[in-house]
Amino acid sequence: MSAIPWRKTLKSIKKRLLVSILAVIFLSTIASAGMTYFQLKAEMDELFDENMKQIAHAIAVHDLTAQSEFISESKDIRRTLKGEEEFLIQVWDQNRLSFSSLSSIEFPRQGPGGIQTVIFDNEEWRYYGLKTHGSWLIQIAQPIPMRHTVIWEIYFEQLVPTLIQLPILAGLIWFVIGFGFGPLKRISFSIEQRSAKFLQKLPEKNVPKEVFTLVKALNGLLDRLSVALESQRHFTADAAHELRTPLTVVRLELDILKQADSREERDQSIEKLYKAVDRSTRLVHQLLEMTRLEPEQIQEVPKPTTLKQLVETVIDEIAPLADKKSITLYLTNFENVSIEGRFHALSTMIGNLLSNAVEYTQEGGRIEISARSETARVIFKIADNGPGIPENERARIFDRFYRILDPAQSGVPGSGLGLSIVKSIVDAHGAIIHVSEGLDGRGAGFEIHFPKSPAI
Amino acid sequence: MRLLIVEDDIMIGETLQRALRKSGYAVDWLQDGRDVELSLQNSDYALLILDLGLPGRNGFSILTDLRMNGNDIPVLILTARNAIADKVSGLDMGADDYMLKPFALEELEARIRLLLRRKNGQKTTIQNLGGLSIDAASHKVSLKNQAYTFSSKEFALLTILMERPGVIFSRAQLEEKLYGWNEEVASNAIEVHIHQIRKKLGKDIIKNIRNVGYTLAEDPEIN
Repeated sequence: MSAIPWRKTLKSIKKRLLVSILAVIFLSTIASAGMTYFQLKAEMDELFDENMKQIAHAIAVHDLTAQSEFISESKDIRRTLKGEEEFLIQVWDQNRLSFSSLSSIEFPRQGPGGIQTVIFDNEEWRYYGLKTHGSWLIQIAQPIPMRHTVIWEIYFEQLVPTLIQLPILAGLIWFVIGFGFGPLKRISFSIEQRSAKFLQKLPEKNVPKEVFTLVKALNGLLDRLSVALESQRHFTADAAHELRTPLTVVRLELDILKQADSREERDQSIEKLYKAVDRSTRLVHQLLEMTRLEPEQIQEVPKPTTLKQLVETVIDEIAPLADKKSITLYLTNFENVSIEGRFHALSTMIGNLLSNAVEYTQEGGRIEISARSETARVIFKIADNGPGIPENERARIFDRFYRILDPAQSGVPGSGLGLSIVKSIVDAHGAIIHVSEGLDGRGAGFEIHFPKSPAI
Repeated sequence: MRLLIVEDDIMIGETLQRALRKSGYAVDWLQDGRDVELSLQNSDYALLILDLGLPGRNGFSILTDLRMNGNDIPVLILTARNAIADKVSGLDMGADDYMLKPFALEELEARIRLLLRRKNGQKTTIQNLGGLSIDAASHKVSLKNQAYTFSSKEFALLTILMERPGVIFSRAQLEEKLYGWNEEVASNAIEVHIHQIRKKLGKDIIKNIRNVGYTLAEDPEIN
């Protein structure tokens, strides 16, 4: 079996459990079988040895002299013992073998002694010799291999049920594991039924403790997913709605152009067409920017970023526009603070706020940028002395596509997405944005509070 | 014919106003929905073109209030909302028509004509009075089978007079029907148009009642 399918097999928890449980059972069976064998062997040896002693003593009790003739007449001519529990019994009178239970085996006289092992006929024999009160020597012997055969037979009789038990156990374990996995199976079935349109939470009732955390986490994910999908749907609908506006203008101006009967009319329509196309382009650009900034999709890794560096990068782009309107940009009370953030996103944020300030502030106006550090937060502020944002509009300016209705500001082109992009970036950095008055008791001020160790 | 457009988007508002003015309508344009009621009280509008997504006040609420106060001005909803639910509630709340942005100018104008003549109980764009016949769709004017070319203002003026023959319109009334706010009106604009119409259709087609106003000859064929 190659390595990959094996790993694949083990990817199933059920199979993995089965294989490991069976392996444990098998190994412990082998270990206990080994131990049993040695125990059994020791017990059996002791038992056989004891038997040999008892037989010797039982014979010794008899008056051997009286029966000596009878005893010597053994007709058995086998050369081996019968196996189980049979012993070779010899009675020696001095150096003459007076009796042998199997005379064809010429086991020599060993002399008296306790239980011992001797070599006869290239085989190991267990031997016991008993000297009686007369001059008799009773010898009891048994070949050790035969003894082992007996032990093995007994041992196997014990082992077989254990071996038969293994496959049955495997089947039972397989079934029990399957039963244990029931709740998981049910959950995966309910997950399978979920789709982008059906993101209902998984049932949390009657879920085993071990799976509960998983179900809870999945439900959290489903929740976030449906919020994200919902906002995506809204966004698409809003985007489609907003794109209809410049398209309407394009369509109308083309209709007018077709019927135009003066050069002046034609020029007017063409100019409007350019504006409408520019507006769609800006809208598409910002829509893309916005999708890129969806909180789930921010790829850039946050790292320590100094606000000064950010502002300097952005000011390079903004300064020419400000110059054109003779607006002066000031860095006032700008402490050298840094925050944990995404450089690209943050510069988009500052860029949007600054270009708004430049767009809406009248010629010769003033914009002030400041940054300061407090115990728990870093406060970044951009304020201008332009027309400001009416108080009743402040709550809505961060809504997508929302544009302030104010004839004084109606000349400013925009898509109504700039501040909503700012808001997404602020949210993604765990920061808060406030709108207030700007400079000289007028104008607009945007204050962003960054946490010192943001939860990103 | 004086129309009121309520549209918050500057580009669309400007363009729509320009296009409809070119077709001879007097067109006023509001950006803020809150000003609608006041404007309707102050001038005599033939039609209201209403956007739904308005700042200040939602188009639906404007419409509901209008109808509740018994105002039966024809209302055409012009919106980017294409949900069927929006169309249904718009029409049920008392709108006369519903158009989706973007749209073709020709279609919008045809629908405006339809709403205007429905108000007068007409079925077609052609109106006849004696030997005089005008077609609102093609802006064609003919008298005793002789066709004439009219500018859009001249045509609009003739239409106003023709819709209510015998009724005398003062110069101020005619100006209000022909010109929207901020439209440059020369002090003798009405006289100039009347002069042009008389030059084409004959001197007696329009009667001038001194110090009161103008009216269409009761039987234009006489000339």
